[in-house]
Amino acid sequence: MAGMVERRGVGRWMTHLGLIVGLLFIFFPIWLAFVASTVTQPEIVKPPMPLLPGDQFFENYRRALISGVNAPVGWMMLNSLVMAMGIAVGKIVISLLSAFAIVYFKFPGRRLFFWLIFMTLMLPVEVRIVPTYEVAANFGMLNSYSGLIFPLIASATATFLFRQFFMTVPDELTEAARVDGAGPMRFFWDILLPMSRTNVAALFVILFIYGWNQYLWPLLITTDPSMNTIVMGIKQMFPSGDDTADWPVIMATSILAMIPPVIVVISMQKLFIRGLVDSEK
Amino acid sequence: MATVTLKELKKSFGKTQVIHGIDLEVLDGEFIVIVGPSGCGKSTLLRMVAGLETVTDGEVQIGGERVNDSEPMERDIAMVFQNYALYPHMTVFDNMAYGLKIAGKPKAEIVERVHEAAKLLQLESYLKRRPRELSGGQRQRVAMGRAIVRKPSVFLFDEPLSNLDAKLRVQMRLEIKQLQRRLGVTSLYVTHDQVEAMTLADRMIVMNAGKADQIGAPLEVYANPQTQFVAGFIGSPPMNFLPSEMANDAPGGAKTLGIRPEHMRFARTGKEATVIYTEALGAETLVHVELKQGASATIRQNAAGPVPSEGAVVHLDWDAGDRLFFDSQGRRC
Repeated sequence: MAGMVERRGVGRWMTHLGLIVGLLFIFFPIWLAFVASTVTQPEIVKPPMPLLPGDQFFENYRRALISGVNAPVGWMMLNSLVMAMGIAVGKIVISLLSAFAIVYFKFPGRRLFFWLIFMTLMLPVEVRIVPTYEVAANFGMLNSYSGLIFPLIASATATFLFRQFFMTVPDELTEAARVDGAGPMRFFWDILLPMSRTNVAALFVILFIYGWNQYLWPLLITTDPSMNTIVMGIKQMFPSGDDTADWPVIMATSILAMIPPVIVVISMQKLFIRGLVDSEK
Repeated sequence: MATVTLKELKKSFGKTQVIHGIDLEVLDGEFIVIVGPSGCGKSTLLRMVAGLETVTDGEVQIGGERVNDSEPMERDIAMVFQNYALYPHMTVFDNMAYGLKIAGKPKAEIVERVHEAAKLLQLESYLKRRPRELSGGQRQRVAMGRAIVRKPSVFLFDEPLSNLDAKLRVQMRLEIKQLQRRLGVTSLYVTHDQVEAMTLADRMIVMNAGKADQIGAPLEVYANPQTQFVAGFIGSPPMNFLPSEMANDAPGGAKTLGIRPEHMRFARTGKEATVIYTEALGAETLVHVELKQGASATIRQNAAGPVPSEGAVVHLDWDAGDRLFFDSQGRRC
């Protein structure tokens, strides 16, 4: 792709300038958050705000990780990690299996089921949140990992994506597997799954971030601070009334909350991009 | 090793019948080629033998046993697909070993059999590669290797060479023939290419719209076609069809007179025709003419002989023994 649109001279400088300005624009708030997480509380509240990191880095992060405001951030991160992993893995497993069923098996109501699943795409979590809460509460899932994970685990998007992918797998491959004596699940496990590897990776990245960034649902379902997730936890740290906010710790928490998604994206970037653009099978 | 028997085999998709009852006895070790134009049902026929399509009516027997309801794996067959159908994420070795692995063969035996097949197909140095790192011909060999390692009693080929370029196709055709001779495995081979059919087959089945028009040895089919369709389909350039009135002694009911291009020759006297255009192919020249009666014909002329120029008026002649007559249904008479 490189060099597909070639620019010379001024055009080239302008492009880079635009990119750099855009980058600074996006990066600046993150930089401010980072700076705020390395100075003391008085330094933050006294204008002008410092623009260079202070010397409180270890102190602030230690405080955040170990004690936090309501619950230790380390603990909240663990909760978030369990939730995000649970949602990502669960969604992938369920949608792989349901897409497999929809594409490869003939059963009555197959199209109906597909369209039913497809229609749920139009209903975001927020629309069905009250009945979902009711169901989760009746199952006694409040303040538990299962309550955080299971209600969010079905994914029409992922099912649809895998369905589209499976439909591009040549029929002859299925037939070759049948001649080789592979039963349906063996075919799924030995052939379909390895072939979907890059799609799975791409979805994992998207879904992990989706799970990590869940805000409203954990806010509803967890009342016990020890079950809080980090994204909602940040909001919980804001004091109510006249208490002063512990900004260095809150900012340290924000920075910490960004790290896992960044690690996931960077470590899976190659697979992620291949999964989205690759048509090679 | 096994025989394959088809009895009154029929296939319908919904209300449309695509195979109208095929009877066939394949001997042990025989190479049968099923040939026909696209849409004639030849692939469907093969897939019914493979067990990839259900049998609507009739019976498929392999080795004397009825296998209508058995899974492909239980039929002791191996199939080579048109697009090779190699597993893209597996190495050549794994591709060839997969069937054996599922069958639960011991590891040492799998390794031995795969290496044996790889040696036979000159694939030994490619065993660790993936299909996408191979050329078309190599992929084709892997697909055959996958069939060979299983030591099946029947090989099924579904247009295995149609994705290769012309030169490679000729080479692989020879290899398939040699391999089949050496292994002596009963084979069914589907193709739309009549040259493949002629060169590979012990016997060939010419299919036309879901029926077997003729079953026989290639040269027998060529020399003695039972229907006008077979006469026109086998042979390139195809047989010339002229109105039967052009022969004085046509049998009753005959509508069409067929003469192969190589059996027509230029003469001093005979049917008058105008040369439309000529195609020089090197060793021979095809001369396309239009007869006075409006019919057109092709004459295959040795390039060493004189070739008439375009627009010239020529006279055509042929031996009475080379004529074939067909009735209005297209049957020989």
